[in-house]
Amino acid sequence: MKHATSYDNKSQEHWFMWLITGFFLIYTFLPLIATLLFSLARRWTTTILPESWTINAYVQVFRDPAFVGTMGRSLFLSILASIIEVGVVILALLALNIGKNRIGDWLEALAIIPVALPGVVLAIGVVSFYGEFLPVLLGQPVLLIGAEAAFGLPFVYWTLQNSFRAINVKLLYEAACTLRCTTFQFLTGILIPSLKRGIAVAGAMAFATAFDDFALAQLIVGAGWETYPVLLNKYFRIDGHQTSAMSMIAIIITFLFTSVAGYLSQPDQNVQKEDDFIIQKKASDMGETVKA
Amino acid sequence: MSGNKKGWRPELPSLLTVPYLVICAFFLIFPLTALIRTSFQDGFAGWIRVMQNSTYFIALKQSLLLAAWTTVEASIAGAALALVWARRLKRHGWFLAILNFAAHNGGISLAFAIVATLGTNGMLTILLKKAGINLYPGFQLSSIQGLHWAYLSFLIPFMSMIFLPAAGALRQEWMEAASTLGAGKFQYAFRVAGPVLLPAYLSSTALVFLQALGTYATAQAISGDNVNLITIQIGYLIQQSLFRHADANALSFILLIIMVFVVLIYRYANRKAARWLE
Amino acid sequence: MKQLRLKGISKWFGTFQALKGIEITVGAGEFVSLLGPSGCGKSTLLRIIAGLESADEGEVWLDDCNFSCVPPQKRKVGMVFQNYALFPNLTALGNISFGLEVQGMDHEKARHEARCWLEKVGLKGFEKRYPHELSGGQQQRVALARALAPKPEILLLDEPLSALDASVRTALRNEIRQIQQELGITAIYVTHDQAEALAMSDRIAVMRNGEIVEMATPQNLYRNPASLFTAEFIGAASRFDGILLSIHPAIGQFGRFTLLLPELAYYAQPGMPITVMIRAESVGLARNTVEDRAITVLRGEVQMNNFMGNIIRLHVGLFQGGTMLIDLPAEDNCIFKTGEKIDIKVFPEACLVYDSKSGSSLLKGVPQAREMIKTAV
Repeated sequence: MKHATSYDNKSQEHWFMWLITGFFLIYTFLPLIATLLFSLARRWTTTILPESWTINAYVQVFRDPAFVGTMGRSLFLSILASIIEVGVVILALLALNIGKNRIGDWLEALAIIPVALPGVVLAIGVVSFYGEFLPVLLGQPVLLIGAEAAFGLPFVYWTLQNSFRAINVKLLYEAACTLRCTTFQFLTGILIPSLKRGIAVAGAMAFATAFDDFALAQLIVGAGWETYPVLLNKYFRIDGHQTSAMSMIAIIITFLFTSVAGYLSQPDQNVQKEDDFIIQKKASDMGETVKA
Repeated sequence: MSGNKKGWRPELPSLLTVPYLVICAFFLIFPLTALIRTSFQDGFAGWIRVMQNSTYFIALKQSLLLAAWTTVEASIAGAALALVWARRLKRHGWFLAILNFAAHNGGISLAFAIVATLGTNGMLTILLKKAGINLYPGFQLSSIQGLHWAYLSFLIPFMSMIFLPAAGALRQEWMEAASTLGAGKFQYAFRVAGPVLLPAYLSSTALVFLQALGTYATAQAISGDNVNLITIQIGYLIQQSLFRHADANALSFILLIIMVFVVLIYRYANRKAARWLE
Repeated sequence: MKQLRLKGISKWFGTFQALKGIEITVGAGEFVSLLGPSGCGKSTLLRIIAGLESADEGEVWLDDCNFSCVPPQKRKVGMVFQNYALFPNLTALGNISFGLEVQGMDHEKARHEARCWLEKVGLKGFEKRYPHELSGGQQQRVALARALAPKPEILLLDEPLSALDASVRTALRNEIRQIQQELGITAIYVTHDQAEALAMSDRIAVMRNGEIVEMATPQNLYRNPASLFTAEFIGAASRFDGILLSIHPAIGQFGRFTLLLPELAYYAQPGMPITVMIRAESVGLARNTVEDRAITVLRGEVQMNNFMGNIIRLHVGLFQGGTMLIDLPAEDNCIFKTGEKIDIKVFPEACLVYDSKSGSSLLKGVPQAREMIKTAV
């Protein structure tokens, strides 16, 4: 009887899980499928699937000089912003971990600002500030790069903070110090290799955030230094067909980076084997004792 | 003897924070202070003008309404999704990959995807028509109701993402301990799991609300400036009319105050949550 | 091989004084343990020697070189940490050669030397393992090799064994001691485990509340602790508080019974409050045999009975008040039931007598705690 009820509970739980997951998956992928079909359709009006197919939209996109220019700018912007973010946060977290002054709270408070801050508000702040003090910079890409870097800080900060916690950086730094290792050697030889996974996740997220961003790009530099989403927005109501192909390209790039980041951020796969592992360790420890 | 108290140690760590602080100062703090200062430039005149303008007032009201509505739905659905998946992630990394993608797939491309699905000629619209359900003309994508569907597509996975750590921290042993004490599933949910998860749920919900309130790109692209939301107003004011920057500043400041308030709730809830879940 | 001298080291954390003017000299090649309960400042002191903390007052000298302002990178210390602190991104071999390579040693040569060290700590064949693939004991061996590979002038060990299983602990502590003696390196070992300190050290410094209570060889420390704190901290003993009745012969009054005490130092005064510690293994059962000298015989009832393998520890409630611990060899005729009444004999020399107020020893021939440290300097 007992077995029967617990089995029942389990299957019930499964049923609920797949219902909600299925709903979520359809919600996520149906729009993507629609976009993909749209971009490949030659004629599509009242049927469920397109009546005839073509890849003209993609040909058109790749022939468009604006596409190459904006894509180049967006890639440049996103790569630069993510490198800045990861570098800046690693240094700050290292300082926080090995230093003694209580700067941690401040760094953390700063990192939370962009979560709460809508892009439009940051954009208008940047425009007001530089319009007043450094008007030369208005419309320059450097403003956008800086703003993107600041805007993406929270995810990078949290991701890397978790990685830092996982390896006890303070202790490692002290060990390195007693081995006569400089801070720079520690950074390049120990810290960055140990944080590989965290850096990959943080960098990918920073890249995706910067690449997808429209508010800052549109409002800070706009047409002066058009990024990919700005171009996409411009074409949105002009040419649906080309827009669908461009959207698809943007979605694929976002998908690559965010899904890899998501996959890497999963809890350690070793965890499930932990018990076995401890037993193994124990066994080898025992072996040592016997030898001794 | 104590003269050498400060030697080599304290300097380096502080230096390492300089790049971080520079980025934050030049692209967060200074812009924000400039924004606040300019919104007070002509005393409270700008404020009064903004408050009396019914368009802005409606924009604020609609933004809050949309954010609250989507937050309620997304927080429930997202939390449910997180709870059913929290224990399975170790073997199902693909789910986390999709979740992360869905949470961050916003912006113009999402807007297009939603239009291609739910627009007048959208795929789902046609599918439903074939099934005998006519969405149009009763439904309007370029409305609060329409935007709400677009928002949910990234808010639900976003909620799941940030609620997952808390959901995962719920220990199997607690459930087992409760059942050995004779507690049923519902008693466990209401007396142990619920109270433990509530603070984390609230802090995650606060973040979802912030996200919903601040969304610009998706709303702007779908509605084409047709729906009156505060972020769309701000974006419009910055781009279209130079001499109305003051209004944009004042509106941004209002938004900022709401954000600060929600962040305080978030911080409070987060601190409570951290008590049990670390 | 260098001599380490600490001169008046003090350290404050806020208003809390963690170290109070520590003075120690550790001879070249000597193995000294810092022993004390947690929070006594022993780890802080070690970190100050390593240069990971800076002292607020005082100086650290290695031979004739003042290290007080030298960063840890230039101190030539090797340190082993409680939680191993192995670099997770490097293999066992990489961890050991890291310290050599950062000093500019040629990669191949460093590898070769690291391999030798790995062999020395008994981990041949584990070169390519990463820290998470090693057991605790193996990780700590790698950490030891890593600390020693760059040929430090002094080896610092911060509770290196406390995260390990009991069986591994014993094996590894012998290995550490062996390697230390082989290299003749000066070593400072922080621990809260008295057995470890007694087994490994040339000398032990007992610490309490940021001060060194006394410093002596393990034998002296155990047999004739100069302070009450040490006597309580090391070994199992029964404690009795009372007053000194007379000096010749030395007799103390403890509630409703008196004890014959050994010969006391000249500064003992009749009537002064004293504390007597009696080690569990130095009392015995008074069977019907007649003793030819003056002993105290006490009577009590067995309250608890701990079988510990080689010995049996009895908790005996004395009829005259107080509890006495007795260790007996685990033989059949020594097994008592709870509630059984037994007679206990206490030899005068089993009593460690202390001044209750200052906690210093009143026995003749046991130097005062302060003097003990000074003679060492």
